[in-house]
Amino acid sequence: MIRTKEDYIKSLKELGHVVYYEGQRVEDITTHPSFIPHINCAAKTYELALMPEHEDLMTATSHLTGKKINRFTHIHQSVEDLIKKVRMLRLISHETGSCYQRCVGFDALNATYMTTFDIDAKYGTDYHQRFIEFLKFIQEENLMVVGGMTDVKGDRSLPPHKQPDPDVFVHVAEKREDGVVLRGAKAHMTGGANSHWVLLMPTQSMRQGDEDFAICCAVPLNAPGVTQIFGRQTNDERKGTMDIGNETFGLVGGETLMVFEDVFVPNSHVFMHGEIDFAGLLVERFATMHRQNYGACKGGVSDVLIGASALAAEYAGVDRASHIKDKLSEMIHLAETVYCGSVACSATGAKTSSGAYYPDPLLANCTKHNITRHIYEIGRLAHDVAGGIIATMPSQADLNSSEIGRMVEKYLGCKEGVCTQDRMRILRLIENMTGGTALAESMHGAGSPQSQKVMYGRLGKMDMKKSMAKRLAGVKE
Amino acid sequence: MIRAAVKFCGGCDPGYDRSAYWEAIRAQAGGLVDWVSLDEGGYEAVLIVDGCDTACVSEKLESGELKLEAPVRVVAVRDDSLDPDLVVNKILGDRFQG
Repeated sequence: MIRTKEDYIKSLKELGHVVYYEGQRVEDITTHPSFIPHINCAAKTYELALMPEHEDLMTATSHLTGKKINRFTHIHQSVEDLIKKVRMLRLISHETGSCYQRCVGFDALNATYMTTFDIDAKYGTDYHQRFIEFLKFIQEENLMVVGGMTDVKGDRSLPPHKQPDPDVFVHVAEKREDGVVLRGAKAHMTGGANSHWVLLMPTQSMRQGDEDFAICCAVPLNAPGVTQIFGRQTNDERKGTMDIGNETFGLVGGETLMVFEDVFVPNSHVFMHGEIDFAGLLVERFATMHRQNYGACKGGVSDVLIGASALAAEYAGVDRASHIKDKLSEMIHLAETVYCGSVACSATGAKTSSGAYYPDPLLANCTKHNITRHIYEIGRLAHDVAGGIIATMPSQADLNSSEIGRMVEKYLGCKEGVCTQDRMRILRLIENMTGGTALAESMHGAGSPQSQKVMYGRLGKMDMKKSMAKRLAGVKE
Repeated sequence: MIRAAVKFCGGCDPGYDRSAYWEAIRAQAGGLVDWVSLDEGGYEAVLIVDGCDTACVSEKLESGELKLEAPVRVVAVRDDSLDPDLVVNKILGDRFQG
């Protein structure tokens, strides 16, 4: 069982999974500078669970075994659990200032738990019991699971079964008596390189003809045929230096392209195959639970950014200027606004037929939609407060240079008593947290804004709204 | 020496450094208090360290969701305004008075 950060790193070292970065196979991701910050982030989910100061949020009691487990492997049993989830996310964001990746699998576990129950109720299948056995194993071993939803999709105008190359959607290429064989690829696999298992789900609603694409199953990431290609980030060349801005925890989640080439999955790990009428529900549930998170994790990350912006202003001696105070206040307002969404959709959550609790989907979608706007505005205000120096500042190597270091030291200095290197570190942190990858993740993680708008159309109760207006205006039905 | 349990809230967005405050209380108590967790039991007093006015742990205690072994002295803090030696005095209770 994985308990500590050290256990977690050892487990990754021994996993033997196939990961490529910049065209090269990475034999040991735990010693590679491009992976270490992401591993440190995920490791926080293990470290904090062992601390008395945080166990109240970081751990839960398994409804399956009665044992104390890491909350990231828990199935929500109450509204309080839903709220504790978002409180936990804000806490971890304060510790890392970055994405700790484990919520994706957390949400996939919960969505699959609910949906397998519903599939069995309709079709008399035994997916739910299979899934419970898998879940007990994950809880017992405290493993990190990546949720695998987004297919690469090929020609977006065509359904899965009409694609010229069916591999653009993960699908069952062969059905055997004892299991299935998968082909395809999942994109944007947050934390994929440093997870142990992937829980695959369909990427969208499915229709007749798409049965082999309506597949939900669990695959160990060291299974033969699984290859991960680690995506690049805006600060790739800065890893291992203070120029990265957040040396210990890096930048966003460390996503991979995860490719499945004839990967065998035994029946015990297949939780849906062919039930096209449940594909959309599974997607919706996963998306809702993932969207629930964003006001908490990004709200927490924004707390760090607000602190960094306030320090940048203080170091520059402008912290007493009224317009700076106003911008910092606005940043706080926006951060708390997005957090409100996460708390609200959790507080108004409800019990599903499986017994697991589920956040209010309309409010969860609003929460994520606000992230696609407010995080950009918070970033804009951070740039405004910090100044253009975040884009043009010399590097750590320049500061350390025996020839020019004295110039950097002198001319990047600010208010008396402020260490130049400290100022540079804070400015780099702001750059890190507001750069390309971080913002794109806020836009598209857990679904692009249009996917939230689609949900408004379905969940927005437009007929009720029209009725209210008619009644008040005296319009007869 | 008395045996006292410490229980923290989860710390989602505390208004002060709970760990630093707890360390200061522990240092102030020195050898007068044997600190344990609630699970370990056998305590005469409980220190609740909440991070803000939401006071999740105090609330749970009040609602009965959090149950203590027996009626014991409970000292709850939700900020670091109280001097650590006063917190220790409250935990020691009569022992301190005596």
